[in-house]
Amino acid sequence: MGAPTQAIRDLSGILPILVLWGVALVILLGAPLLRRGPGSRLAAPLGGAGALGALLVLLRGSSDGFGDTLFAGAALTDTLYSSGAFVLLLGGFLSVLVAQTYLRSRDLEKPEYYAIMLLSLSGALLMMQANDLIVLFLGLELMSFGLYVLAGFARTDAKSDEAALKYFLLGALASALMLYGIMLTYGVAASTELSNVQSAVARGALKEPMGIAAALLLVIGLCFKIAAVPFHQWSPDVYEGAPTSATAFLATTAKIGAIVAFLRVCDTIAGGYHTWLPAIRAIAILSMIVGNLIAIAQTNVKRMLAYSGVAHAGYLLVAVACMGFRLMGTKGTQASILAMTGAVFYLLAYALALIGAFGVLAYLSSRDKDAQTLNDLRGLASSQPAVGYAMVLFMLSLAGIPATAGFIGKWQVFYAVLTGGDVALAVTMALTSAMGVYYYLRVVWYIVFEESAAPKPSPTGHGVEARPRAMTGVGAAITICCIATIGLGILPAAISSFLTVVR
Amino acid sequence: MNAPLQDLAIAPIVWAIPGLPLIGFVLIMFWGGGLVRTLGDARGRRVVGTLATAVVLLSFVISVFVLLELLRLEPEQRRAVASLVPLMDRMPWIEVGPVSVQFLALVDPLSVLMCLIVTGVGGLIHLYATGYMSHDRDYPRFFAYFNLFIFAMLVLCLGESLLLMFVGWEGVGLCSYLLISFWFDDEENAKAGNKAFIVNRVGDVGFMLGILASLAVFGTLSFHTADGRGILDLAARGETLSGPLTVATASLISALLFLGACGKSAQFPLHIWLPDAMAGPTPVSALIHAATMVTAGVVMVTRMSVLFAQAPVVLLVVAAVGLFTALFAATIALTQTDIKKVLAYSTVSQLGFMFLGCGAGAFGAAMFHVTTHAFFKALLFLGAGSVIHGLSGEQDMRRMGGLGRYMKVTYWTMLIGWAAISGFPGLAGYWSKDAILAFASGIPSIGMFMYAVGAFTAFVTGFYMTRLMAKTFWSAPRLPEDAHHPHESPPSMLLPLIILAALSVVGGLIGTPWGNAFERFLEPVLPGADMLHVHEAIPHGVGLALGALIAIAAMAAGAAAYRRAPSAELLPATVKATQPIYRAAANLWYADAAANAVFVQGGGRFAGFVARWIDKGFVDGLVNAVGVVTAFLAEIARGGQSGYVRFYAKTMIAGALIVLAYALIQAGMR
Amino acid sequence: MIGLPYYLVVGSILFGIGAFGTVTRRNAIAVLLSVELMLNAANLNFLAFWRFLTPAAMEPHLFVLIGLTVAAAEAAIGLAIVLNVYREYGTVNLDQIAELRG
Repeated sequence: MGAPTQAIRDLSGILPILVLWGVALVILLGAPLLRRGPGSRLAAPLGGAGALGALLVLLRGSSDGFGDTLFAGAALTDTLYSSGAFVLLLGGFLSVLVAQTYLRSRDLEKPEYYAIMLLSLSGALLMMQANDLIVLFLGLELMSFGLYVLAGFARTDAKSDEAALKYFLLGALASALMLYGIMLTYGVAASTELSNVQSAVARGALKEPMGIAAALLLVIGLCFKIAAVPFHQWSPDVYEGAPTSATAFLATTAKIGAIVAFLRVCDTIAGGYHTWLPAIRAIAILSMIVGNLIAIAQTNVKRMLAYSGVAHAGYLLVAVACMGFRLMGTKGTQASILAMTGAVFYLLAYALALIGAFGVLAYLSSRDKDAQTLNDLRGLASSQPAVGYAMVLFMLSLAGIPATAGFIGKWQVFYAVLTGGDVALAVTMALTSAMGVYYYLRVVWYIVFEESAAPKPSPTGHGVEARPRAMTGVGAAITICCIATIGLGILPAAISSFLTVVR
Repeated sequence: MNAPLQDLAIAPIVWAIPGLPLIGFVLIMFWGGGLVRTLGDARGRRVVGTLATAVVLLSFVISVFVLLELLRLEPEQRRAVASLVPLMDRMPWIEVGPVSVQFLALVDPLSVLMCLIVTGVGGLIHLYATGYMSHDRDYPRFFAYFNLFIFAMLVLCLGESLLLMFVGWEGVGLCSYLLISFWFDDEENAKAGNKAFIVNRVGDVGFMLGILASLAVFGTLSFHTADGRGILDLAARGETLSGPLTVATASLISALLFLGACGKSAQFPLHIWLPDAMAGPTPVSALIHAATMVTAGVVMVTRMSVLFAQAPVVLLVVAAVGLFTALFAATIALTQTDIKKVLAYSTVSQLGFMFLGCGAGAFGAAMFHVTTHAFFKALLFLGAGSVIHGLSGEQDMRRMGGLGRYMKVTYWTMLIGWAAISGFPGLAGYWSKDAILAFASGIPSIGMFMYAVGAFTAFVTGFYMTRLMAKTFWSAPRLPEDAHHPHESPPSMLLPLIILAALSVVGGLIGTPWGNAFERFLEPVLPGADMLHVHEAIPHGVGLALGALIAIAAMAAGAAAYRRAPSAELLPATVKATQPIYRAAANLWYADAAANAVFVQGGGRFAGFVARWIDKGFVDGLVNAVGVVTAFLAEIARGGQSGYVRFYAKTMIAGALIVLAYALIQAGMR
Repeated sequence: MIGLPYYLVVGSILFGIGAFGTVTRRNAIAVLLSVELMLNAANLNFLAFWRFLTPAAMEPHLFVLIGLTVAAAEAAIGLAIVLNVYREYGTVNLDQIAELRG
């Protein structure tokens, strides 16, 4: 195999990233044209095209050479990456749809927003594709930089600025911890490539203090990104302060990217599970309890979803913990594979419900009103039934009620951890899920049973306030999320060809 | 016992049993409102109501065909699976690892029986609701939810695996929530809906854990599989996935499942939601909270009877909880003044009888009571609804009386319902209650005690029902001066009453101790009963005679005590004599008050906090006390979210240090 | 000769000072500087590992370059955010920027 073919293989392996970069570059270069006038209508479609294009490239990607490493071992393509990337890019596309409507109605639209989104997505892709801790770090930073900026995109809104500052400072701190962990890994393994790390672990690297510290610093850095307790405190403030469309994007992107990377890292260091597994289990249990608990006390839906996100991070960490069972007999191996597939499906269900829910908030926002609180949802089922019941559906999916995608995801993770034989985690998951239903249900209560604060729609069936936005981006996003949430709840097999992780 | 799964010629249309109500739901949900607008109010409503009723009655017809098909097979061969998806033999739902859950229906005597009850009684209640709800502004939405409920209930009954049953289980809970809170102007209703959902979650955790435990133990979730490796197949042979089924394992699973059953079927202490749930429209009370959904727990226990039969301690607990609930709720029913509340506590009490039957191992008798109870309790609720409708919404029995002459049909059908529930000889309730009590007497060592308490509860039942009849129909009218003239209900409401009354009279004859066709029909699905050597310690004749005597005595005593009560406030002397007990019962045995005292009066910040939560409209009673405690903890935990980024950084670094220190110390010790 | 442990100790002291700074400094810029210190601690150690463990490998140099680049980008974004915050709040004192809480 000659060098040029190798280069082509390498590049075709990261084609989705290249597509994202290309489109982002086009948007950035064309920004002056896209900023105002007739061109301003093109920015969002370009952003959507970027995400969708990357998704198509991913789906059409040739399967030969699959599982190979690229760029001399820096990156790789495997089913964990491809299924994770599918979820990520789908979420990215839906987020563009949400952003298009929200930014326009809030007077925030700038072409750079979409370019930054695409760059952030490319960072997350890089993170999932990384076969080397340094590449993982690079992807993580690329993703995070975009998210910091998006969180602060409403520059004249103090809350947005504060959110960005908090996210940035704490994120930078987490990155520093993580880089230190990577450095220590190099110290014990003399390499940061995952296969070398794995063999170092097999030689007992995780018995030395330096190895232990390295593994746990990596775990901590990733735990920050998925907002697991006690590294979660940024998330409620950022979710609340960031513009709603950015919240939807950062909540899903960071979680998808970090969880996939997390699965890969923990799978690599499974040999030394005794050092990190207790920590992950403790963090998972804490996250499930604390997240569900504090969510109950929230009246701001964005904040509530942030705490619910903490709880979901806990559920996802249960799947990550299953990586530690890989070397414990056949059952354990089976559990670890099931957990990977389960986690990816879970991420898909979560992304659909979360983007849908934030989409509903975005849909309800206008120039002078930013819908955020339970009161803003009051009586939605009678004033705008379609949107109201869509929100109900998203809440049920997040709560894991059967016949929604959320249930299937939860079930898969349940089943994986049960196969691994970890009853404590399974039981905590069951109990806290039941607890979580309470606050999701409160949203349902406000939507279905509370009287609407707004004037009733006129008898002709049209709302008092004309809502031409139904057909714009956010309407489409909500519709897609709805159909997919129900569809995957009833027919999860439909998507399994994209999402099954094989080893 | 482990007959292979049969092929049914009718299998390709089994999907329509739950499918038709689902189609009805979708049609009405999406086009019902438009229909009412385009066709005009009256015609549109008629179309919507007819559609909703027709799909359920059509399901009933198909269920009858399935029953006939099933009856053509030999009794022990009556077990088949059928796809729940039209035109497909099987469609997988969840396939994780080796476990595959498919959209399949298990067609056997138990599921067909439940289908008949749900669609038959459900169809009648739909018909009734077309009249009862005719003035409601959200008429289409009501019927959409109603059809969705029937769909979910049928999935629960037909589901071939525990997981599919769970889908229906959660579905009926959700519909119950939506329907209780239907008249959502009324804050009380919305609160009741919330309470119902939360208590049910407690039960559901039990059920979910039971499912997980079954999965871990049996390695499958299907009840029966073609190769005889389903949960019930294995359990019947005393096997698990690996090794024999121990008593401890069977006990664990059945205890968890029973917790789930307690939540759904309102058994003590999870009974508190059911009386509150009566705040919803009366057809909802009749359909969901009397005839069908609340019996789901009994159905589930019966379905899993083979496991329960191998867990003697759990079985005893089931019997004890059932008996206690029966007595406890019956005494509360004595004190209520709201006609629907009396019936609500009566339902809790009757459900207790059913669990007593299950606990005695007489699962067939319990299902028999489920059936007859569906007839007469639906009848009583619908009759009460007719009364309420006739009085334009009045529910307080203290302002009723003498209504018999205004609403003749309602009166006579209610009379039959009253006789049936009281156990008047020959009527439906007589046979089924007697069967349960007779088997309860056979419980080892404490059987006679159980029988005595059960018989006493039966007496109380007759007494409070007589009280209800006396206050509503027999005593002098106490209607407020300005009240509307009471009127009889429209025919669409009376027809279901007449049919249910007829069933309450003759429905019990399928299960008399002589030639018990009902139990013989169910026997193949109840291998658990055989394992237990269930027997009756009391001879048939004696039991039946005693039952008749108790019923007549209770009805006579009640009549004597209440017949002449001229004013609403007057209590009969017999009740006054036991006043402390009366007061305790009237206060629902202080269950809610105790919860209040323990959880609410904690002082300081806590009290202020509780007040805040009461304002939000989420707090009352025991469940919400749990909610309050949780929310209180949430409030504390939330204090950590101070908004100071430096504090967050400290938490992060402290967390990191703890994690590192723990790992290093642990490594050092190894 | 100065061995590997010395470098590692210096690195960890730098890291510790940085971590201490992030939690004690009220000025957002100072916190940013502290984080840079932590990143550079890692960079320093990378070079030490190269020098003493794998003198033949060139990766550590690359890692340091990547680390520096990331740190520079981070500083750019951080300063921009701090500037925005200053415009809205009129201060960069972190203790006065705490509107979002609960």
